[in-house]
Parts: sequence; structure tokens; C-alpha cells
Amino acid sequence: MVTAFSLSKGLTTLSGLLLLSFGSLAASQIEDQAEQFFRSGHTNNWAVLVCTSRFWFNYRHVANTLSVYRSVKRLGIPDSHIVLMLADDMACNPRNPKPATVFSHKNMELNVYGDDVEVDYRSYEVTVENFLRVLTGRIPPSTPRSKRLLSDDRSNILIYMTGLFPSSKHLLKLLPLFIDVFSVHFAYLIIPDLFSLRHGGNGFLKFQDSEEITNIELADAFEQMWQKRRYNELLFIIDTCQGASMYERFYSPNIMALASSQVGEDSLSHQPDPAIGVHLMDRYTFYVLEFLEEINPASQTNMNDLFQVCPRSLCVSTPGHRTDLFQRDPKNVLITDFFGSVRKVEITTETISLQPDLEIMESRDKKDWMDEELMEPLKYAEQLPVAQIIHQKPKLKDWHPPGGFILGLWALIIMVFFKTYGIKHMKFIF
Amino acid sequence: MGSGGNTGDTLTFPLDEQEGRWELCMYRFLLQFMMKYWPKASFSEPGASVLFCFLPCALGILSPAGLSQDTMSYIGPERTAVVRGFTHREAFNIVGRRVIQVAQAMSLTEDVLAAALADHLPEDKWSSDKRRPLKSSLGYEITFSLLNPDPKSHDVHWDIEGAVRRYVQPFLSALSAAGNFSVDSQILYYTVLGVNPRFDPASSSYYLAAHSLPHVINPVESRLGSSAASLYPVLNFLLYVPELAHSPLYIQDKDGAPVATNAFHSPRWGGIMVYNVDSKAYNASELPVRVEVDMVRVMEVFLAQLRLLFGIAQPQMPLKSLFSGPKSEGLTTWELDRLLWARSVENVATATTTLTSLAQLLGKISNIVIKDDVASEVYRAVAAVQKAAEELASGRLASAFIASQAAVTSSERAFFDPSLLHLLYFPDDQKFAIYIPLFLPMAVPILLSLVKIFLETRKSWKKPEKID
Repeated sequence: MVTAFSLSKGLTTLSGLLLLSFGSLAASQIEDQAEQFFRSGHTNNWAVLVCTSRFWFNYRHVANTLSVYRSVKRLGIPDSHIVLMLADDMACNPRNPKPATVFSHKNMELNVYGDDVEVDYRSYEVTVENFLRVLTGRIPPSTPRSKRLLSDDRSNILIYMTGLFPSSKHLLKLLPLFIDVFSVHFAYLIIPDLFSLRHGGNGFLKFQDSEEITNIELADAFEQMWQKRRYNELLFIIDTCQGASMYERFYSPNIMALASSQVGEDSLSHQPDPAIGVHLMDRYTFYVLEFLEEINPASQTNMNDLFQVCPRSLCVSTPGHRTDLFQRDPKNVLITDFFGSVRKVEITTETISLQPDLEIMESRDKKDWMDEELMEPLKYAEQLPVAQIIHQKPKLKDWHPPGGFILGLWALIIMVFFKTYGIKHMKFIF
Repeated sequence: MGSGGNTGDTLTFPLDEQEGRWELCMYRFLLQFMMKYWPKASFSEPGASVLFCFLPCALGILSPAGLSQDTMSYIGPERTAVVRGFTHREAFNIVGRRVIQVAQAMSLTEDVLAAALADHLPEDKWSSDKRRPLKSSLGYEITFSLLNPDPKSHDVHWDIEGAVRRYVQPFLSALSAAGNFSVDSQILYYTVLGVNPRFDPASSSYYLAAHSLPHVINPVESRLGSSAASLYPVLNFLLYVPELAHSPLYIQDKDGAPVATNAFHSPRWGGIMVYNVDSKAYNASELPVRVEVDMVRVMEVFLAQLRLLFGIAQPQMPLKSLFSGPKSEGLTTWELDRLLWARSVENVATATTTLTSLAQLLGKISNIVIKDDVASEVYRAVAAVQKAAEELASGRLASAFIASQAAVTSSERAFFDPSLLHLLYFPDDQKFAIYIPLFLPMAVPILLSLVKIFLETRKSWKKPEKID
């Protein structure tokens, strides 16, 4: 009885153990597959960071863009994969009391300009046309490689835009442009004032104080990118007033969008710095920067945390986001999928077999010998005789007889003189 | 030594050194004999036919130890294979099935096609093989870099020119049908990997865990200077000689076991191999120690990684077959065929979708102007796509591949022409908003005067009637 009982107990424990091991094996297999399913399918990362406004009092927009640039570089995206467009140079602006720096925090805590910033499109090169060319890839063949977005179908792209929306005082400036019907896109500025008496900015982002990009153009550009499979997934972040209007019209798949404020709200700036004299950052990007400073390349923080970054109490405006076009669930999307560059790696388990060539090894030994013998001193080619050039005397020009024009002019003058005053003066001259 | 098919129940070479080698030699001799007396043209070009030889079973008398009873077929490096026959009732059926199996191993299968068309099929995230191969491109740039973070301790020399000439160039010239290749090399000093290796007291060596490998590449990449020169995709192969303080350094896989090749690769980027300096070299001399890199070992790994990056996977061997392993170049001709097939299909699909989306774009925006050269590129692309499809259908692979490449080039040139940028979004309500303030004030007096003229003429018509 007892033995039977213990036997059955042993059997049950054994079967329990077996089941457990099978279960864990199956579970780990399923876990592996599930992990793969939710992981992103990208192999490289790109970032396009655009600051669209110029002038010293828009310092905060440049600081916004540079702080995102700094985070993105710190998390691993190399400069060759970042297209940075800054519409004005704040670091070397004559009004900057601390040259070669752009600060994001009061009291100069954090210099986001850094030592190795690479700006690809600067000052007047930041136009709507160039921006759309970068996105769609329709670039003239002479453009250097650093100014191109060479993404492929397995690239995750981060697009960050910041700037201003149009304001009604521009209406007066643009009165003469009413006549110019070809520059139609300037006329966008009057639309808000004609059809909506709001402050403006619904659906537009101003470039360089004179141009606009509409949300429809942006949506079409993204659709062109999708048609050509220039991205795997795209994250679009915009920090301006009424930012949510810019992503309303997107219709291509795999796009996630974040904005600093809803339609009808203004996105406010953070704190002014008394030493520099301007507002340093916008609130939304300030809190995003603080959030990103805590992320390292190995962190598993997901997008849902990014959505919570700037609540109404801190930001005054309500940040918005749009994920209906995105296929994965935001809680499975890592921050480093877009802001960092975490590569997929695989261990190499196979090799092929090659036969070593004995001849090569012998000739290599001989070559090393010869290398050591032939260590001649290096000679430089003939340089310019600079000393001579600096100290040379001015060359004497050869004398040439006067040319035909001069001769003819003098002949004319003399003829006129003698005609007027008579030939009797001739003898006093000749 | 060899790299026979290691999947499933296949036999790997060599089972028994003596017997296996004899058998292999015999098969090779047989095939060379056949190929000599067969018209050469039929298997030298890509996509050409495959030669099957049948051997009756009774040939066991030829080998001293007797042919091993288990190998039923042998796949050669050229487009050739040997299948052993039977004296049996069901002979033809069985042999036929075996021929089909061998043919499937050597030729284009559905999953290769699916990998080539991965962009255009619905997303399937379960397989990572589809993400690995490089996209088809006109050319590739391959960069070999030697990373020496500790020049004070290691004076590293590598004969990269000789190794490239001896091992890489033959491989690339075998692959030359698939694109132009350019190779360069560099040596970088004082570049460290982004991750600190951990010390393993059990083996008194340092190791890099599998989960930290993704973070190794990024800090190095900015130093590589790759992609500065050309617009072709770049493949980087790095050879890292670890510092004296971190020697020897091994890479561990997920289970914690050190990897035999000490190398890993990243899809569409390249590969990294860690080369440990032999500890015997430190005994005799003072630092820096002269290190001569064994290029054969290194090139074996790099060429294997190059194959994987190109998507030339180890083929699925049918049961009971012997695989000769690739030739000295590292690439069998039928693997090249598969690659060219897959690439041609991918090119044709890409060109077709590009042209379709261009047509859709033009349909949507009516005020785009198409220049003449864009139009001629489109015509050229369409003609090339049709030619490629015809050539693929008739099996002439080389010309089909060239036609498909021309199709992709023309369609991309047409699609990405800088003049096609439409900048003016012109919705209807904005048209009104622009023209009304301009024309309305002008139109009011004009309209009024037109009305006045009309009334006057009506009055003048009515007047004669009145008189009469």
C-alpha cells in the first residue's frame, strides 16, 4: 500500500517535472517567436531634423532641433544617417553673448551644440523645395552624399520639425504678391484670415518667414516615400502651435505622429535666460529632451512613455499623437527603434574552406625584407618660390606705341583745332 | 574541413576519411570525364541546363572498401549531379523522385522567390531570412578594416592585398554577373568597440555576451568613413584585434558557449570578427609584439559572411546525398544561378511598381510637366521589363538579368528626376480665395457697364418698333 502510494507519488512528480520541462520548452519557443513578431523589422535608422525659422528671437527652435540631434547621436545614429536642416546660425550669431554654444537649459547647463555638429542644410538652403526633395529623393545628381536621405525599405526614419506658423501681420507684407498669381503658395497666408478668423497655422508650417508647407504636401511626400518603399516605419514629431493639424492628413501606412499641441492651441516656450536674452527651448521639446537623456541604447522603454511625456500641467498645451496608421502596438515599439540605432546581429556559425597558398606566404616574407631595406627619405615636389614672389620688384612693362584709337582721337582733336582757328597756328606747333 | 550541407538527415562529408575521399574523387573524375565529352556551351552560361549522370548500383566493385550504401546522389560544384540507379521494379519512380529532389536543391524554389519579392508581399515577420539579403543594386563597395585599439602592445600586419587577390577576387569575379564590386581596405588605430567585455574566471578570458553585440557596431561606424566615396551600398568587414588588457576575447552565443568562428554579422551592413593574438607571442619579446594575421582563417569567415549577406544560404540537401562543397572560389555555379534568378525577379518587380506609382502620381496631379528625357526613360524601362520577362520565360538568364538591371535603372531615373517635384498644392477653395479678391473689384464696373450696354442696345432695338 505504502509502496504503491509512494510509487504513484513518484510517478506524478516525475510526470509533473516532465510536463514542466516540456511546457517551459514550448513556452520559450513561443516566447522567441512572439519576441520576433513584435520586434521591428528594420536594419538601419535615419533622422531628418528640421528647424524652419530664422532670426535671433527664434533661438528656441534651433535649440529644439539641436537637442533632438544630440539625443539621436548619443543613442547611436551616425552623422551619415542624419540630415540636419537649420534655418539660421545661432551659435555664431553676432548677438550671441556666448559664441559657439547653443544652450537648452537655463544657467548654461547643457550646451547642445557640442563639438561635432554637422549641419547639412544651413540658412537659406532650408526651403520647402529642398525639404521635399530630401524626403522624396528627387535630388539633382550633383548633391553630395551628406545631403541625401538614402534610406531603403528597412529603414526607420525619425522626422522632427519645429518652427512657426503664419501670423496675420504678414498679410500686409504680402499685398503686392496678390498680383503675382504664379507664386501661389504665398497666398496660403491669407487663407486663415479669409476663411477662419483664427490666429492661423491650421495645416501649415512656415519656412524661413516666407514660405509654407501644407499638411497635404507633407502627406503626399510621405505617400511618395511609401510608394518607393523608402521607409519601413516613420515617426513624425512636430513642435509648433497647432501641431496636430500637420498630421491630420497622413494616409500612408506605418506612420506614427506626435505633436506638441492640438488644433487651436498654442505651443509655448519654456524659460527665458537672462544672460542670453531669449527663450531657450519650447516646453514640449524640453520635456522630451529630459526624457531622452535617461534613455541609453539598451533601454526597453516604449512609445507609450513618450506619449505621456508632457502632460497639460507642465506643457499648458495638450500633446497629441496618432497611431492608427501604425501596424504595431505602440507599447511594443521601443524608443531606440527610432531614436537610436540598434542593429540586428546574427552570430556567424558557418565558414567556407579555403586553401592557403604557399607561394603567397613565401613572397610575402620576401616583400617584408625588401620593405625594410627600401626606407628612403621622402622627397617633396618643387614648391612655389614664395620668397621670390613676395619680395619681387614690380615688373617693368614694355613700351608699346599708342594704338589706333588713341591716334585717331588725337588726329580728330588736332583737325578740329586747326579748322576752327586756322592753319596759321601750325607753325607754332611744328 | 568541408562545409557540406549540415541540415537535417543529410550525410556530411567526410563520413569516413578514407572511404569518403575515394568516393568523392571517383565522382569528380566521372563528372569531369562526362563534361569533357559533352558540348560545353550547354552548361557554361548562367541558367543553363544541369547534367545528371546515372550510375548503376553494381559499381561497388570499383572501390576497395565498397561504396557506402547510403549515398544515393552527389551534387557537384558545376551544374552537374550524379544519381545512383537501381535494379528494381520501381527503379524509374524512385530514381525520378531522387532527380526531382536534387533538382530542387539546386534550382530556384518558392522561398527564394518569396525572399526576393519580400517588399511586395504582405508582411511576414516570422522569418528573419527575408531581411538579410542586400537589395539588388548595380554595384557594391566592400571595405575591409583592421581595428587596432592598442598599437602600443600589438604591431599588427595583415597582407590584405594578397588575401584580396587570392581569395576575394575569385569570389567576386564569380559573382561579377550580379554587379560591379569595388574593394578597399584600411587600418584604424585607437578605435574601441562600444561595449566593455566581461571577464570569465572559468576560462580566464574575456567575453562579449550575445545581447550586447548590437551595441558594438555604432561607435565604430562613425570612424569607418564608409560611404563617403560612392553611391553604392557598402559592406564593412572589420577585423578587431583586442587590447592586451582584454585578451583573449571570445564571443558568446545565447547559451553562453563561445562561438567557433568568433564572428558575427549584421544584415545589410557587414561583419565583425575578433582575432585573438596567440598568447605564446607575448613570452619572448617586449611590447609591441609583432602580429601577423592569418589571412586564410580570416577570409574564410569573411567570405562566409559575404555569402550570407548576399542571401546565398546553405542549400537544403535532399536525404542521403553528398555535397561536394563549393569550389575554391566559394561559390557554386548553380548558387549563382539562383541568385541571378532571384535578383532578376526582384528587379522586374521593382521596376514595375516604380512605373505604376509614377503613373499614379501623374494621374493625381494634372499640372506636372513631363520632360522628353523622362518620357524616353519611361519607354526604355517598359521595353526593358518586357524583354526581361521574355528572356526569363525562355531561360536565358544572363541577358534577362542585364535587361532587368536596365529596367530598374531607367525606371528609377524617371521616377527620381528632379523636375517631377510638384510644389504647388492647389485646392479649389484656395483658387477662389486667390482670384476673387483680384478680379472681383475689377469685374464689378465691367459687369455694370456690360449690363448698361445691353440695356442701351435693347432700347435702341425697341425704338424703331416704337416709331413704326
